[in-house]
Amino acid sequence: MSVTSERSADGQELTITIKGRFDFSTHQEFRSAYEPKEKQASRYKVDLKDTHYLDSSALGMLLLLRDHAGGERADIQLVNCNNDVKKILDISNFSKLFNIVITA
Amino acid sequence: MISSASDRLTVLIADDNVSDRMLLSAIVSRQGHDVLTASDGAEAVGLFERRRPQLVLMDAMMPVMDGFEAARQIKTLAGDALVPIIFLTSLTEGEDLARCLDAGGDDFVAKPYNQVVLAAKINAMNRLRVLQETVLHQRDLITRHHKYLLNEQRVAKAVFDQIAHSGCLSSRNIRYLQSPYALFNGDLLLAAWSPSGNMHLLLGDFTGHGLPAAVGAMPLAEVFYGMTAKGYGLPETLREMNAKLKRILPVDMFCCAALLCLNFKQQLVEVWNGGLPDGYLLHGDGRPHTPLISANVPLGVLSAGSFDDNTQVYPFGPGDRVFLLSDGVVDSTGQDGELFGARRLQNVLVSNRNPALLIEEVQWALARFRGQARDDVSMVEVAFTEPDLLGPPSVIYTDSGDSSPLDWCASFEYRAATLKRFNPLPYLLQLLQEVHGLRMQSSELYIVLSELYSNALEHGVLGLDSALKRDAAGFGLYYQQRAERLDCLVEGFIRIDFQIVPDGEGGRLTVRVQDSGAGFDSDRVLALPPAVTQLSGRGLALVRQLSDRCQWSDEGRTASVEFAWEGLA
Amino acid sequence: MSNNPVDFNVLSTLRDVMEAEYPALLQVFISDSVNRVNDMTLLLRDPSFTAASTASLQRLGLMAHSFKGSTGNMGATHLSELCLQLEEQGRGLVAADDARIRRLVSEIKEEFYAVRKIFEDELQLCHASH
Repeated sequence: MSVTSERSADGQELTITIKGRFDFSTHQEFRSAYEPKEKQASRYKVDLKDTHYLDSSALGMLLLLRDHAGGERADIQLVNCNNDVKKILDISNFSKLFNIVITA
Repeated sequence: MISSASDRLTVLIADDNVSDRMLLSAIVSRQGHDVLTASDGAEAVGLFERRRPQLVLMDAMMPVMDGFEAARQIKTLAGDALVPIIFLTSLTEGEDLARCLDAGGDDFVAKPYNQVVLAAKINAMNRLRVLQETVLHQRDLITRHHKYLLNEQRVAKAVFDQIAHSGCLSSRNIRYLQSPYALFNGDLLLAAWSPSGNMHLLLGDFTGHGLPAAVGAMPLAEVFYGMTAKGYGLPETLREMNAKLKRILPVDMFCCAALLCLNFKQQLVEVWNGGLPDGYLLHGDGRPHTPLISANVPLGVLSAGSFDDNTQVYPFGPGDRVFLLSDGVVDSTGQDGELFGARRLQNVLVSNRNPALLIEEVQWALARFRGQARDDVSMVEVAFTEPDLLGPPSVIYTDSGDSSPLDWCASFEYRAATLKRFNPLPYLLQLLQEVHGLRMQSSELYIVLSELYSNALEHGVLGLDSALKRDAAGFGLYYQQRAERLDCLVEGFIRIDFQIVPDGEGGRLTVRVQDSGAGFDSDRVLALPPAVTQLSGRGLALVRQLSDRCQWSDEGRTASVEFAWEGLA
Repeated sequence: MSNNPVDFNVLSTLRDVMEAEYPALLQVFISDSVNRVNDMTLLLRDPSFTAASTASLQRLGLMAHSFKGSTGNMGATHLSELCLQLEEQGRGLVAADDARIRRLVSEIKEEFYAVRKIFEDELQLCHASH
């Protein structure tokens, strides 16, 4: 399990990549990946390509990111969701909160 | 971490050889420890019992009781605590050394003694001893903490059960499975009667475990019971639950939930699912089951403005059942990491022959799949039942009735913007409850009022055609149209008049419900034979059956019903 | 009798460790050892003693084992070595030989007198220095 983040050249977009299990143990890493070092990004991308598993606390963490990024006005894409991850996001209808993209 | 205090040990030296004993005592004392001496094994065991030294230096060959036996007895007396025993020996044979180990020896020191080696061994053994002591201390701390926690949970659960069991989970048509500590898995199951005799049921699953998962349960249950008892429908109850959880829960916590309203009189079930795995409507006549899919974001996530309170309505008749489950069933993993999945669950549902065993069969299938049972899943099954077999318990009022109003009228008009979101029925019913004579009939009153109100809204203001509800497909379409038309409603009204007049010892209530719609041919509709097996047309029959007098005027746009009561005993 | 019955390095360490107790240690060792040597001699004089008797051998072996320990600690290296040989006989680690056993015990006795002489001189020195 590891969380990495990368800013776009113009600093506007922050991409967070989660490898392995996305669950409560990722909490601290995930938070520090988006909490601003310099100025806050205006768009977010969460790359779930190498995420094998996602539980309800991961959904909670996504909600924290959404809150941080402006709540209902947040611009967050969840990209590269595999079938299992997609299923979990679907049950909770997170497509109503996030822009879910199957492939980047 | 060894404190300086624990560096100073009490060391028991057992050796029959008096000069060796003297020498060893001197060496150990010089290292800063307190020394006890024994000249044979039996004396050593006695001293150990009385003085509890922390470390023992034990000669193997001694008269009366040898070092091996003494070591065994001391280890037994020490119990869980580590009392290191270092054998003092010039034994060189492997077999003898093995005997020392078998007897519980932790190390050896050979004669002649080497001070440096001896000090190093005592220190090393003491580090082990302290480590063990720390582990034991932490174990005891954890045990104490765990007991404390269990007790807290027991108290919290007892308080919560008072609330949860105030509902009607014990009704004969409900079967459920819940772990005794479901509350601390975040699972919540509630059921209650509405004043009209509908059963409301909620299965919820909060994120997380333990106390954080349990704290949201109390306010959620309060809203559920409070609003159900007051006669609010699912949408209002859902909006309130969502708003409350959104307000009190941290951002990353929410509650996946399914809420049902089972209307046994009109044979309908209304469903809202936000975040729970598919539930199922199981049909008694062998039709394939209908999945009750999560179409909504869980409770406590969205702001009031974005929350979607749309429900799905399905016919629900004799032999039908609704089956709901928390996650933990379909996402159970087998030994090879494979998921139990919806397909395996559906196979169990399809092959089920005895409805009474459905939940057990799901459990068995799960246990077979995983190789062990799970006790952290919640399942509930509600069956259709004839309304008169259950019925809500009558409400008991404690006031005297002396101040009951007896001669008044009131008029209300609800216009488009209000009709979209507001359900006036609980408020109106509350008003009528002030009239004591009506309390005995509050359930009938509520049913008739809600029938007339929904007829006025759906057929009058929204112009929906009840003929649509002839079959299951039309049924879905009907409720879809209802939601769409309500959503874009800009004009229209429903007017409700109450007139209460005294009549001898008792009195009489007249309710008039008027709508802005096109009206209907009431004579023709009422002349139709009662449509027992049809999905539509139950409403008017109910109204006629439950009220003392009813009539339609103004080309079907105004309905008028009467309820009368005798003097109170 | 060996050339150096007592290792003086060991003796000086004992002096350091025991401090004021040093003369007492010497005294205790001497009187304890006198008993041990006597016990061994008596055991061999017992008409029932024979190298063929396991019980007798075991008793002797244990005596030798214990004496080996204290003599080792006191720096009586050769005496300790003789005790080891006797212990091996007594514990059946080598084929027991009656003549050899008797010879070993008398060697132990002789060596002990040498050691004792040295320790008594030590004691004299201690008293003289006080």
